[in-house]
Amino acid sequence: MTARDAGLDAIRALVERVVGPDRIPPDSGPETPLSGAGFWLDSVELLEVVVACEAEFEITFDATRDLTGAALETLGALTELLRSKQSRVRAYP
Amino acid sequence: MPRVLTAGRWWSADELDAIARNWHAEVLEKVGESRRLIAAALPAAAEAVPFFAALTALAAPLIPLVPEARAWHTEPTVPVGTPLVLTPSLAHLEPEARQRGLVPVVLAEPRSKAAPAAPLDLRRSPGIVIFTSGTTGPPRPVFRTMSGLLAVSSARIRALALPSGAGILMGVSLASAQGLNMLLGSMLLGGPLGLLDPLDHRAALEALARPEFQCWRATPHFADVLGRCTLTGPAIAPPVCILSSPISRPVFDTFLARFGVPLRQTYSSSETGLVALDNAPAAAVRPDTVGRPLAGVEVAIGDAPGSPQPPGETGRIWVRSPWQMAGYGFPPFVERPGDVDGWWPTRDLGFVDASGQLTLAGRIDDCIRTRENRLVNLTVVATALRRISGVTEAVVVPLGGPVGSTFGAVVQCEPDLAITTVRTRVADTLPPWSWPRAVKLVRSLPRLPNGKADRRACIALLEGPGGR
Repeated sequence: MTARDAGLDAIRALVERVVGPDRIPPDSGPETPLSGAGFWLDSVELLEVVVACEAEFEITFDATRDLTGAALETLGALTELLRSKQSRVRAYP
Repeated sequence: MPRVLTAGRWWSADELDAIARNWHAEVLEKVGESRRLIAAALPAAAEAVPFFAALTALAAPLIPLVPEARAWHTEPTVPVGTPLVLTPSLAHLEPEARQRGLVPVVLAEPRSKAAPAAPLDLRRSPGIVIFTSGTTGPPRPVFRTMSGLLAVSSARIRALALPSGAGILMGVSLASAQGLNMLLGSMLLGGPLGLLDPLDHRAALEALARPEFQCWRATPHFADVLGRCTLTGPAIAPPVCILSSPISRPVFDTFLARFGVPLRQTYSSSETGLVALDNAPAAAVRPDTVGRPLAGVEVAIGDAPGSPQPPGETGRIWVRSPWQMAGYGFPPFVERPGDVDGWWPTRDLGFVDASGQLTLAGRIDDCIRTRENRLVNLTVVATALRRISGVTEAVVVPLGGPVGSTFGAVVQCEPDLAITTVRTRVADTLPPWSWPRAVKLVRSLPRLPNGKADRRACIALLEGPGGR
């Protein structure tokens, strides 16, 4: 498994905890939307994912810079955002 | 015109005022001066403020719409032929407008130079049409006069003892009744306005700590998150934090413990405007009451306003106030069905205790206020589900949570119908806040002995393992 896969898997597991088993798409990948036809997260759940990322990976996002719409569009985009803040992210070797 | 903070950037009052004047002149040139209705899609950005100022300086009643065409399905619909003004950022809505028989008018990019000299006066506007969740169908238009809207904004400012120049922070859509009320309040106060991104709690923490903001119009889930997220600086919140959705005691206590400021409940509706708010001294604020009615507002509980129930007994809330709606519909054709001698029968249940504090106790109809602070009609959601090919019946029920309600659907359908198909079809027809959070597909709905759907069993099904 590559380093990227490990990061994606960690984020996927976190998102799946927020949405519960009913809304997990069968073949999610980097392109799977977090909102809409993917995990169907609403704004409350997206914020929940953001806060869970901070707690689980011991990071804090930067105000007005990190949490733009594009960074929260897909599983892969969120993974990349976390990678960019990575030095303190446990899941990324 | 307030100066505006959004996404970490300040827009000066002069800059926004010039944009408003240029847009006002452009609307006059393209649409003409008339008393006919004019609609506008309000963007979720700072430009919404000058856009609103430009359009309320017209003699035409304004219909603000959310920038989400799926939410434009109302009963009745916006009259065919109504101009729909769009900022350049929302020009992509032009085809949707035409499809609905509206006449799109796309404005030029905002310009903050060479503005016309004449100042804009929103008191020229006869009023605004907002939308409330219909009790049996799609959202209904509610016409509120501008004089009434300004009166209620002034009353809120007085009740909260906000000083002139105080800044307001808000995380609700400007196209909502609550958003427009807070914008008008900010214009009256002459202080700054902060528009919070609902996904950026870090920016919200920074904004809340700024001394120019004296009042935060909060949402339940944001209050919850800010009360428990990791802090990177001191916990500072404006002295006045108000909500208009119920929250649990733990959320209230956690926020108070961290910020030292209580979350004050308010009660309002599209039809009545602001009814009550909890402006008790900080130590006496409670999460379970919306406070006392504002000066000039009368509240009665019961089947009829002339024979109110004793304190402590729950019943329908009736309201009579100087700023309630002119009526349902699009002016000049508005009506007030159910009005009794100026008293308006709300769809809310509640009781007044011996001290005069009002406590809400649910709804008479099938609507819920979600944790995103949207009023959603569950009947409309169920109807949308039943229209999906392969669905034979659907029950939509409210689901509780610490920061407010959500809702879920139990859908009786053919065995080959996929849950993704159901969600996609709903998303095609309803706005995002009307999508069920939990969906369960079943071959046969749980039913009571009399054959009706068993709503309690449906809730248990949705809240059980695998239900969400």
